[in-house]
Formats: sequence, structure tokens, C-alpha cells
Amino acid sequence: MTVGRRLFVSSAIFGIVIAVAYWFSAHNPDGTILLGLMATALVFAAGYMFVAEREARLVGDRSNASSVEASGEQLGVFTVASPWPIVVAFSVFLLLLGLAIYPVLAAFGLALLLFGLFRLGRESR
Amino acid sequence: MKHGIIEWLTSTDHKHVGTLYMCTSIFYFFVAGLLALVIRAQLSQPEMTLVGPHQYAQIFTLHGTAMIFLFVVPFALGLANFLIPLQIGAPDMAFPRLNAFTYWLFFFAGLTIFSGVFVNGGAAATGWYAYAPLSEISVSTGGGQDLWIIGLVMSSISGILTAVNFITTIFLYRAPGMTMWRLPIFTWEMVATSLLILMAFPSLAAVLAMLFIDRHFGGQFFDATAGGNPVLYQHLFWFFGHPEVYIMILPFFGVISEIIPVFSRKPIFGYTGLVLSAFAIAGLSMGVWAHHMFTTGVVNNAFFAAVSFLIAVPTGVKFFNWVGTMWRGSIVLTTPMLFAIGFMLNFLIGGISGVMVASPPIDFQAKDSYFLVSHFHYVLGGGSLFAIFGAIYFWFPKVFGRMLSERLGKWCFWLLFIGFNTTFFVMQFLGVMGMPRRIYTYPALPGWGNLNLIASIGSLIMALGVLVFVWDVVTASLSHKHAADDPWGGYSLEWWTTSPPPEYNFTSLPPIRSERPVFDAKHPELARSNVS
Repeated sequence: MTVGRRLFVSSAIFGIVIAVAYWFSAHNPDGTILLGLMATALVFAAGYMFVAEREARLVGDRSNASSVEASGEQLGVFTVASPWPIVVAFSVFLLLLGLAIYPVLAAFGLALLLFGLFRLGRESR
Repeated sequence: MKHGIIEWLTSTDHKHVGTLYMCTSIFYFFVAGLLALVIRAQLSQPEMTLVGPHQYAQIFTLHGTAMIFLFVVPFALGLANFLIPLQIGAPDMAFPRLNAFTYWLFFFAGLTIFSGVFVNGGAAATGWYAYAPLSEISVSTGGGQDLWIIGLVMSSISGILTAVNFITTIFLYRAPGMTMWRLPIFTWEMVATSLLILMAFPSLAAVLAMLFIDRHFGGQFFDATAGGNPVLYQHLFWFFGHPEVYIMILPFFGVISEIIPVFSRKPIFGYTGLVLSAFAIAGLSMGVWAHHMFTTGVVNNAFFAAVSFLIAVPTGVKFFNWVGTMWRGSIVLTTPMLFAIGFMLNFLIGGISGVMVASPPIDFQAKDSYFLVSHFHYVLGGGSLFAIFGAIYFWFPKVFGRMLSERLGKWCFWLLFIGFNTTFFVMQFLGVMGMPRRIYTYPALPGWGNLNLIASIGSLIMALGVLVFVWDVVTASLSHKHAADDPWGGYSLEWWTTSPPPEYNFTSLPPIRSERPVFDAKHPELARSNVS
């Protein structure tokens, strides 16, 4: 088992154990639900690690690998600059602020958010 | 590399994003520090009238909120943003645009929180925890409370997305040979911190959304008269709030674990123990939230006391490892090393007083007193703050390509160390004498005035230390002397590249065969793979 899998599986087991232990010691539904949700999220993440790592062949996991072996490998596309992250963040700011003080502002924020996400999506292709 | 404003606004380079995070958080540190000085001026004498009760409540709310949500956590995220790709030999974060988005969301979150100062009723005045029903609209009618809620929701969304980015980057983008068990300790600590953020921050977003619904959409989640439950607020808040303490300290355990070996001229002692203890702390911290609620009388005090005591064990393991690393090392007392040692001394006091208040009988006495103010300032001020200054002095040459002055750095350290302990040590006595926290003034009871005056003088000494630091940064920035790529003889990959690093970070990488690849490459005769 890889370190990543071990990490998430042991975290999930810990989450289940502490949720059960809490219920039997405290009989408190609020805290048990919180811990139960945490355990569920960790079980989900651990399950995903099993599925994802089945196909993963990471050069970083091989202890004797050298950088020459990774040359030419496509790691990803790294943009240097994009205006859309700040636009999307600003639109979230307007949307939430509008909810509190002025609904028209929230509508404008939502429109800007959708536009920003659309442009961000197109740029990411 | 050009450095125009447009470039900074649109950059998705992790080094730019990390630098923006750190600079913004330092700005909020100055703001929160000025607010702290007003607090100390108000409390320096009995019956002072510098500020009124409502103003005072706003000031300590903004002070706490800014220090926690806008300074310590964002600085850690910024440092991690800058360092993680460099330490694992990656060209950038896994999701660069998402990375830039999280910074800007944090930026607008800070503006939102502080814009409360300009609305009717002023800023939020309910403390950094905003307990219901105090924060309900029936009591806190001003718009400042709403802006505070919105700002924190934005901040928590930003934190969650950042954590996803960190975990993905660390798991998938490691350079050839950089196995998980060769990761630098700082990067390991950020894996643990990111997991904690993913588990804890949703609870904060949820409780604030519920509070907002209560305030504006007729919700009754926390309204006891309508069948709601105010204690539910405390459960949800502290389910985030206590792990948050470790989110604020685990990255800095990582910082200390990077600094101490370099200036002890030894490999870290007990690498595996340090990594496992980080996860033990992270896991246990999810099961201690209600030790903040001992006095409500509706939680299982024995359970939460036991788990709280247990956290001291993995924390002790870390101290053992740091001391073991220094033991028989060739210690060099540079400024970062002084801050690391200062961190250990202060955090030890904060940790021991933490074990004390984890005991319900003591907590019942210390609750809401200045003993607690002293305790958490020793953890977060004496701990995180000293580690932050250590990190700045250690990595400043890598980030900006300039060296800070060792002479001024030592002045800064001693002023902060003396000032910090002068301010917060006496607060333990004030707490034992019964002085409650969050009061804007106090009567002239025996001993209270003198101890408060000492604390206020200490805060001025700290302010002087911060001024020395500012002067140091200004003079270093104006200097034409470039820092060397590896001025300290560092161990991890960030010291292999130029200062500051180029776009995409590396033009070459050394073979990675241990957790000290740069040391191995520069001293092949001592490389562990050759020695063993």
C-alpha cells in the first residue's frame, strides 16, 4: 500500500473509531454527527485513493528515479498569468456582500461570477 | 522577470501568490498589532477612558479576527504556497489559477471584515468566536456583524480550496526520487494541516451560514425561545475552532523543524517520529473541541479532558526531536535559530498551561480570566509569531534575493522576546487574581494596576521590536547586495535554485536520495546513501 493510501485509510479508521467512542461515552448527537460526517468524508477520500492510485505511476514514488527519466513527461499546463481568478474572487465578494446589504449587488455578483467561470473554463481548455 | 502591478494582479505563479499572501498577512499583523496597543493603553491604568465599552469590544474582536484569520493562517498558507513546489521539485502548484483565486478571495475577505468599521453600528463586537445569541440580529443589529460573517465564509472557502491544492500538489507533483518519506518536514506538516483544514473549515462555513440565515431569513437555529439551541453554535464553532489552533501551529512546527537542523549542522533527529506526531496531533485535535465548553455543563468533560491530555504526548515527541537534533550539534546562533529557540521556550509555557486548563476543575477556575489570555498568546504569539519571524529571516533571501541584517535581526528578536514575556507572563498572575478577560476597564484592586502597567510596557517593547524589523526590511530592500542562492547551507531543494527562483523554479535538480538532497549533492562524501 502506498503512503497516500495508508494515510487516508488510517485517518478514516481513526474517524470511525473516535465517532463510535464519542457516542458511547457522551451520548451526544451533535458531536457524534459532526464526527460521523468527518469519518464519512475520510472514508470517501480513502476510497478515492484506492481507485485513483490503481492507475497512477508516479515517478516521484520511485526511490531510485532520476530527473532524466521524467524529461519530456507532460506534468500539466502551468499558466503564467490570468485575469479571471481575481474577477471570480471579486464576483464572489459582490455576491455575498449583496446578500447582506443590497440584492441588486448580489445579482450583479452572480452574473459576473458566471461570466468569470465561463471565461476561466474556456481558458483552461 | 517584470514586476508591474498588472503582473502581480494576474499572476498564477505560486511564488507570486505565496509572496502576496505573506505580504498581505504581514500588513494585517501591523493593523492587529496597532489594535493591541490601543487595548494595552486602555488597560494600562484602572478606570481608563481612552475608549468606551462598545469601541473596546470592536477593537478586541478585530484584533483577534485579524491575528487568526488574516495573519497567522494566511501567512502559513503563503509560506507553503511559496515553498511546497520548491521543496518537492515541482514547477508550480497543481492548480495555479485556483491558487490565485484563493489568494484574491482571502484578500477580499479581509477588506470585507474591516469594512465593518465604516457601517452604522461599527464593526463586529462579538469576539472572534461570535457566540450566538450575542451575534444574533436581536442583539448585534449593526451591519458590521454581517460583514464579519461574509468575510469569514470567504476566508474558509479560500482555505478549503487551498488545502485541496496543497494535497494534490504534494501527492502528484513530486520530482523523481522525492518519495513521501523524503519530503521535507515542513511539507509533511502541510499535508497534516491541509487534512485538518478539510475536516474543520466546513464546520465554520456551515455555522456562519446558519447564523446568517438566523439573522436575515428568519432561521431559528440558535434561538432558544423558538426551539433553537445556542449550544449547537458552540459545538459547530469549536469543531472548527480547536483544530484551527493546530492549523495555526503545525506549519510552524514544520518551520522550526527546517531551521533547527540547518543551524545545528545535523540531520533532523527522529524524522519518522516527527511526521507521525504531526498526524497524531491532527487526529487528536479533531476530538477535543468541547474542552472549550466544559462550563456549559452539557458535554462529557471526562472524554474531552482525556483526549486533550493525550495531545501533549505527540507534542512532547516533537520537542524531544528538536532537542535531540540540537544535542551535540554545532549550533550557530543566527537570527532564525534564535527565533526557533524562542519559539520552543514560549510554546513550552503555552503548552504546559494548556495541559493545566485541559483539566476541568482548573478550567472552571481559569475560564474567562486573563490566565487564558496568557495561555493562548503563549501558544499563538510566543509560538506561531516567533516561528513566523524565524521563517521570514530564514527564507527572506530566497523570496526576495536580499539578506536581512543579522545585527538588526538579533535586536528584533531580543526586543520581541523580552517584550512578549513582559506582556503575557504577568497576565497569568492577573488571571489567578481573578481579572476577567474582555473587560474594557477595571477598578483599582490591589495589584491589578501595576501588573497591567507592566503588561502594557511589554507591549511597547514588542512594538519597538517590530519597528526594528520594518527598518531591517526597508534597508535590505534598498540594498544592492544580492543574497547567495544558499546563504545558510540549507538541506532541502529550495536552496538548490537561484534566489529568487526563476519561473518554473528549476533549471536542474540534484539526485534525490534522502530528505537532504542539497546537502547530499554538496557533500557527497557525507551523503547518507554513501555513508550507510
